[in-house]
Amino acid sequence: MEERIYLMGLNYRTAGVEVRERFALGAHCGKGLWDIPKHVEARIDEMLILSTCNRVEIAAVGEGDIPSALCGTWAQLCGRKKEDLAPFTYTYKGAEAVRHVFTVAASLDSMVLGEPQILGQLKEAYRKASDAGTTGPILNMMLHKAFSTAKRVRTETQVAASAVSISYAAVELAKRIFGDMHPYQAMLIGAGEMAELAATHLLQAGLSRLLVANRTPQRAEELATRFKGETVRFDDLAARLADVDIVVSSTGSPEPILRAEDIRTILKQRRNRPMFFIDIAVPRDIAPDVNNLDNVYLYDIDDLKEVVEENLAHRRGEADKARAIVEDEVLHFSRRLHGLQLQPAVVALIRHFEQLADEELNKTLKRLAPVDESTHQALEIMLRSLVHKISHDPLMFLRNAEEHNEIERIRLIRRIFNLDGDFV
Amino acid sequence: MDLFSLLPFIVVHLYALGVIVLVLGFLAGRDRLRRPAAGILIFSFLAHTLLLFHEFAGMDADEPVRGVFIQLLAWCLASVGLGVAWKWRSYALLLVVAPIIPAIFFLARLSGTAVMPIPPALAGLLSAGHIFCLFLSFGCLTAAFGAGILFLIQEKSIKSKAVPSDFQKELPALNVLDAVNAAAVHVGFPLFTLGILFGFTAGRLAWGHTLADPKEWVSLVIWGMFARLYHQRLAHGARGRKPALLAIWIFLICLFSLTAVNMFLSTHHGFFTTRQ
Repeated sequence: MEERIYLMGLNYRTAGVEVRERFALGAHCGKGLWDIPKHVEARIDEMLILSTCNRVEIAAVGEGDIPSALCGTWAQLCGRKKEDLAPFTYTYKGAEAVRHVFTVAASLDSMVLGEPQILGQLKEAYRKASDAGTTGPILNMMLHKAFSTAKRVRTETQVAASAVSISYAAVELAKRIFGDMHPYQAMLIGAGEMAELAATHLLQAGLSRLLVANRTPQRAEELATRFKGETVRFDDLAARLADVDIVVSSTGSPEPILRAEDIRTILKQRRNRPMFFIDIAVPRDIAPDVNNLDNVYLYDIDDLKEVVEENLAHRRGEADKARAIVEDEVLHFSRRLHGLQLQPAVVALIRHFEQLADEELNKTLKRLAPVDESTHQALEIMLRSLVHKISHDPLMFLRNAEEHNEIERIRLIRRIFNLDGDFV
Repeated sequence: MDLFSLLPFIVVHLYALGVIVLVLGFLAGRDRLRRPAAGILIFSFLAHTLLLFHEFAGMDADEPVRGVFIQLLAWCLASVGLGVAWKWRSYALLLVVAPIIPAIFFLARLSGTAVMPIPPALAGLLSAGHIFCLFLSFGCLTAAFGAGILFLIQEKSIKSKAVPSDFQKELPALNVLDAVNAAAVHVGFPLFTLGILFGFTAGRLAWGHTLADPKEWVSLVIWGMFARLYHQRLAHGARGRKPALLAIWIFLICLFSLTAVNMFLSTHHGFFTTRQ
């Protein structure tokens, strides 16, 4: 049964962003997306499509030349030829496909190892496939197992722990200094993409207010409106610094705009309440010796990069543990799937014997003179016991099957006992 | 042998078990172990409270004290430590404070074996107030010590820009640790002041003089340091590393006063630590 599972896709490793854009399977493909199983020249019983900015993947359960059929229909849906798509795709079958889905769900195949979005995207893809009615017992089981594997990976390893972006690293540091961020205020000095990103994350972490200071008042106004903050005149900077706990600085100044002696005065006004300076500017805006002051913490862009690098290295180290968990779960899934395959054969065999026994019992009872209840019961017990003993060996033959010969054994038993009624 | 004769033994071992499970919880990085550890410590504290009720109910002023003051000291420490850890929701604070509770029992065993009754002249409300205020103040100092140690670890990690270890990641924020330290000082110093005032008054009434005991001199030194810390926090808004360091030093000198002074110097405070 596992051999019927296929996965075909492309991702950021096999295809550049232009190719990924070209072959994205999103809402723009319309209803045709869910009609793929009807059009391909193979039998597809179940299907799921995952299309994100970093990957487009189709998981399918069926028979025939599924990869080739899928590739053709996929390219056609995107208005391209099969040959345009084929060089960028990869295909997995059976346990390999299951392993890949689990690896993706656990964020071990993501561009940023351990990032949390992919699990949400996979859940959304599963919901859409369910709504479209293209999921079935195998995909249901596989996706639920993928979600529980991802949860296990997050709980048992630190693959998703620690910030791996500069702005998140700054927020994590702020939390280690201030704890709950709600009572605190920050000031954004200057503007720049990274500084704005840091400000966004700080506000998301619960910061109460953001002040914006910029040499260009218009730009300050713009940012203050965007962040629902307050503008500060650049000349009033030093006076207003006493009110803020976190400073994100990214001006283009060639000289430091804040030195230790300035901060010392501000600290006195603040009665030594701690301050956290995030200096993203190059050249630096804040003199490095500020970090030597008590209750003042200064991180510049290199410090933050180093934190991110080490966190990434830590995540990579944890990824080995996570992969071992994925392997374990793939094995569990295979066993459950084999059980799923075995069960119908076992039930059919027992039913077959019971049916034969019932037929023979009825014939015998008709031939005999009327028998009393206890004789009837004794005959029934004798037959059930016989069914049990006769079915024992074929059942053991099935249950002891190895992964590689299971299908063969099931076929054999079905044929010997004519469980499918193929011959009379 | 009835339950109450076994209770001191049970209490100290339960505290020790709670501490061991808590340490294992941190070593394994598992909340699954920390929650039961906190449960064991709370249960130990309840058993400890029961033991104290029993000891005080049956205490006779003419009878030897049998280490009940050590139990009271450990109880004050446990009540403040557990209270602080609960208020600031921090297992890490518990990790620093909790081991001191069984350690106090252990130090009591080391500190002497002679039976020493409370001097009859010292019996009364003044002495009770003296003991209770100082013990609660010691509890506050222990919390300030725990928060101070954790503050230094956390601050060093942030200042040095090193990647935090798993343990450091679980520490409370610097502001939280400073708040614990501040609260402990704000409550602890007035209690300490009241405690030694009660003590000096009781001593003067009993013997007609004060400052004749080395422990009283050590207490004055501690009071001076404590007053400085209290003043710096209130008047100058001192925060962070310096108050944390000062609180650690005050706690260590208090510990010295409780153990070494009692063990090696002649003091009429010996009944605190002696046992039968």
